[in-house]
Amino acid sequence: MAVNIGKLVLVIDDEPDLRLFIKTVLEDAGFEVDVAGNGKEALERMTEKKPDVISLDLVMPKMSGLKFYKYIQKNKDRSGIPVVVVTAHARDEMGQTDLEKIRAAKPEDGTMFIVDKPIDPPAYVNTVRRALGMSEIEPEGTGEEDVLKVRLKEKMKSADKKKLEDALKILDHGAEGG
Amino acid sequence: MKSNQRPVDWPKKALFDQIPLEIIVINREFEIVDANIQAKKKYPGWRYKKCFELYKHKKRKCPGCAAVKTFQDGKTRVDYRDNIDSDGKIHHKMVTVSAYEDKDGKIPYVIEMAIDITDQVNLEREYRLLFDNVPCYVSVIDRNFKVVDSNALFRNTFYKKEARYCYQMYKGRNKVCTNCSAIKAFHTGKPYTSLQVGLDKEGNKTHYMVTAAPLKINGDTVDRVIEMSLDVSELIRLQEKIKQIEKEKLEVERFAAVGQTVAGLAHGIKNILMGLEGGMYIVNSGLQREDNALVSRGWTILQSNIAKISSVVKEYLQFARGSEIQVNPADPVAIAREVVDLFRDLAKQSGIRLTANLQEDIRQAPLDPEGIHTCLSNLVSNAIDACNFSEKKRKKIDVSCYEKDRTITYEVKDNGTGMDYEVKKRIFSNFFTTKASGQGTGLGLLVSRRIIYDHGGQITFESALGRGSLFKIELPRKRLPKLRTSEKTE
Repeated sequence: MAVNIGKLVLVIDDEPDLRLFIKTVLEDAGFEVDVAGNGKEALERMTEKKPDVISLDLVMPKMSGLKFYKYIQKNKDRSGIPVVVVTAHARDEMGQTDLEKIRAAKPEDGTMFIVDKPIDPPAYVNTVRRALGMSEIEPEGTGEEDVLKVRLKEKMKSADKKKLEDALKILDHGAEGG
Repeated sequence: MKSNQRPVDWPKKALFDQIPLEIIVINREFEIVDANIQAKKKYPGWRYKKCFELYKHKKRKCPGCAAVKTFQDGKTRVDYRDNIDSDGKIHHKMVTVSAYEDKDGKIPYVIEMAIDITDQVNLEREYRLLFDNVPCYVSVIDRNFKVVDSNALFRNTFYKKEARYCYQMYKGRNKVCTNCSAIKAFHTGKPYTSLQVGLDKEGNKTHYMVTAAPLKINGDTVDRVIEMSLDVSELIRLQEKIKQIEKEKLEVERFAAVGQTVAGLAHGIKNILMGLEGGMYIVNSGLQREDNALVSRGWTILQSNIAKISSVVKEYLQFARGSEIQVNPADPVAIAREVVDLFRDLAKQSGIRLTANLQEDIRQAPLDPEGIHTCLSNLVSNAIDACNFSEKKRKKIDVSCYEKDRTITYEVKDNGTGMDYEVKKRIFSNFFTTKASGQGTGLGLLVSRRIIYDHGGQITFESALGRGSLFKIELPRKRLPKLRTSEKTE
């Protein structure tokens, strides 16, 4: 698990599996995560601890993401929280209308990002980071450095504990030296 | 003036005046020497005027004058004339011209007895106008079906060389038609209407609705029948077109349903893939964190999504197999009753009162009983779920079946959780399920809708959050599929 960033994400999704998935992805990226299964629960969570960013499922039974968003915009304290809207319906007609509505409901100074389901973990994490005004993490590419990293990873798979500790020491030393 | 020539005495003067005819007596000079009161009233300046002056304001004898001939041969004639009466208008007259013979056998006078037939002539002209211009084919036939009169439209449409009889003209056949309205009209003296198919002079089929009405009644027998036919070809064509359009519409609806189903399937598979990806990620993450609880939760997600795959595949196969509905004459009520019986125990266990409200006298209908059974089962099963989610104390589901306006209707009504707008919008549009993972594939309503569409029917619902839902299956009899046996004979 990565180093704790010290930011709290409130994940609102009615699907428990997806909720756990998103939670795990965010935790792996160093976030603290709170979860809620519906809008009502989310409001309770928010009063307990105000999140730095909200990951909001657009389509939920009972209180939809749109309704929830409109509701929190009424409160100045909550309206400033950046929101990442997660939707599987961005491309179908019905999802479109909801998306348009939630975009329209966004105040001018509000922060909103839209993420399509299915979720791609690195892309999703970067969106959350952007919502918080943080820099994005470069995905693993095919640059020279990356190739070396991949080779190192390969080696790491077959390495024993002792060798790994040695490698770590070299890397730490090199970092200090640089 | 030759007053001495006037007959001195008219023995039956009173009668002469009272006869409802205009009577004048003219001498061989065509001077009017006597007139009855009827004539005097019409022509106040009659005395000794020449008849052609008085009647026609002319200076000469009329050509073909009947009186001239009668003066010659003494025969009685009937003549039709147009006279200008004292009102300055032309009047049509039927005039009987008779000779007055003296004892020597000479004819010094001719008596003209005129009756004003202006009204009759006008009426006849109006009738003729109507006859010729009414937008119907009109023909008058005698008891041998010979056409004795017809209007221009009839002749222009049905003229056939040598044709004399109505069946020859209308249909080009050589015998009286079966279901002939005219025969009935001849026999009963009452009008009859029937639908016939004729052939116009170009040989095109012409549909017409003919009304045969007795025209002349001679004692107890009808001598003539008037046949008035309205061309309904266009109507029949439109009717056929509407039938065709309805058939096409049904096809389009079926295709749309298939399309939505495929889209729904794709969406469902996408959901499962998301579940699998998510589960794998969680398992990996749990392994890396050495968090066994997380691994186990991820594993459960994987398991439930794999279970979902198998149930989707099963339902899909069922759906694909059921793509052609098997139609048989079925009792619509019996299907509903079976479904209610099937769910009785399950409902009881969940503390739900399941009632049936079934109209008994519904006729059999061409249905796929298994298909309808599947639909109703889906609806009742959904209703039970909706009730289970509800926190109400008295949960109830009512299944009803009735027929109204030749439409068989099933209703499944529950007082469960009901649906909000979001759910309502998506209920048929997608692989949409509000149930927890592994519990619903979202195919149930899609399958149901496909089956109902294949029956030419529709499935609709009303729902209010917290109050419950009402699902309605409507099957209009005229849109139901045809039985296979009858399809073969087509």
